[in-house]
Amino acid sequence: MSEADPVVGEVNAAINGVLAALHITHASELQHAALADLDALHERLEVETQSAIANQDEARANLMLGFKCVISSLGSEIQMWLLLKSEEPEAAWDCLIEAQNAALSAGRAHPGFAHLDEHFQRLEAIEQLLFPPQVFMSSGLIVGRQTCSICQADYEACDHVPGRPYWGRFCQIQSHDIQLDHAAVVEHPADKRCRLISRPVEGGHRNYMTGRIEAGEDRTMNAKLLCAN
Amino acid sequence: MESARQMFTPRPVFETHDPNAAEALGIGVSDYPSVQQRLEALGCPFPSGVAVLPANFETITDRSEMKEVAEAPTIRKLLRSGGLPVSTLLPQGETSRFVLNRSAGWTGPAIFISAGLLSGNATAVSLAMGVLTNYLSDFLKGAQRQKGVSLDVIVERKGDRVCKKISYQGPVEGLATLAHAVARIADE
Repeated sequence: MSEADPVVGEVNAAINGVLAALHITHASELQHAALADLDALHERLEVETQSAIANQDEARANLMLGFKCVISSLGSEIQMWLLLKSEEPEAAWDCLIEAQNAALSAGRAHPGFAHLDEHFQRLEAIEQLLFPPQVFMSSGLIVGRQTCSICQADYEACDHVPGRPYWGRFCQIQSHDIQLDHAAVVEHPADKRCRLISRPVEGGHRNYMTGRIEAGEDRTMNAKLLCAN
Repeated sequence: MESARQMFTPRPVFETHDPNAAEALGIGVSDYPSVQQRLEALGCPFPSGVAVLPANFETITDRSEMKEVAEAPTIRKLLRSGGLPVSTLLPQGETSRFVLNRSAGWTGPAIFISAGLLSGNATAVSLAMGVLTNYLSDFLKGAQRQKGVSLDVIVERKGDRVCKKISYQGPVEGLATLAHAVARIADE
């Protein structure tokens, strides 16, 4: 199916056209242009997704989902390089983690993207070479109710399974009536965007990313515990 | 000199992507309270097949206090889709809250396997572990997979109905070994 689909060739060619922007040396205005190209490609893929759904072709809808994940990963990486060039390392870190997550999601969307694991390895190499080691946080939550993101039903009442693609969308568990139970420092967090931002030192708080001492008088740690998906 | 030495000790960039990197801590067996007696005390029906036990099953005094691991409903769905007889513990209309721990890896709930199921369906546990392995192989990627999984299976022995907890911690691929351990404990 995918070999005969002309959209696959077009999208692959368009993606190849932005790969040069995945370097910090690339001119910022060209990276912005690449981001605009990716936005246009995403819109095209959304149209193709709706077409696949109208044609009752779930595999093709999920293939388009995989391409959207690839585009999201590439876009987040380009954003990361732009943010690093403008000395915004914390926002750049979030973009890097989003790029990693999107690369892994592509493989879940459709088996044709299984090779994206290699792209993920490149992104993890960037994480370890460009950013200082981080102190990660994990939160423990008490959840009153769970619903399904696909059908909105009570999560246990439907057959959808989280992480699996359905008609061009991933199933996710939506949590309701949430209470924070505890927070902990962990080596392996569920979301690497949840991390300590700064720690108290003489004269303020030292930022874990920049090393700068920022304003702050209390002795509490500054942490990011929850991030929107 | 110290800082220079550290500079030449790079962190292993690709290490976390080895699917077998999760340390296989293996399988441990320990005593567990009688599930039948605990359920009777809580006024819950006894499951004839498979059931997912709440995280605080051993300590609660009232079933309204039940808290399930957030993954519990997913496990029930997967096991049902594999054709296994899955029971819910709470009476119709009652619900429990969930505990959601947002750390890497995957920690499953305790799965109870009744003596009745073990006597009547010799392949039930292998089937259950196969279903979970397939799901987790797709679901866990990157560092999530590297951290490995942990899962407890509560087995009711066929002869005396004494309960034993079999705890597994290690790579996803090792879950299949739980089936052998369950079969051995069930026949003790």
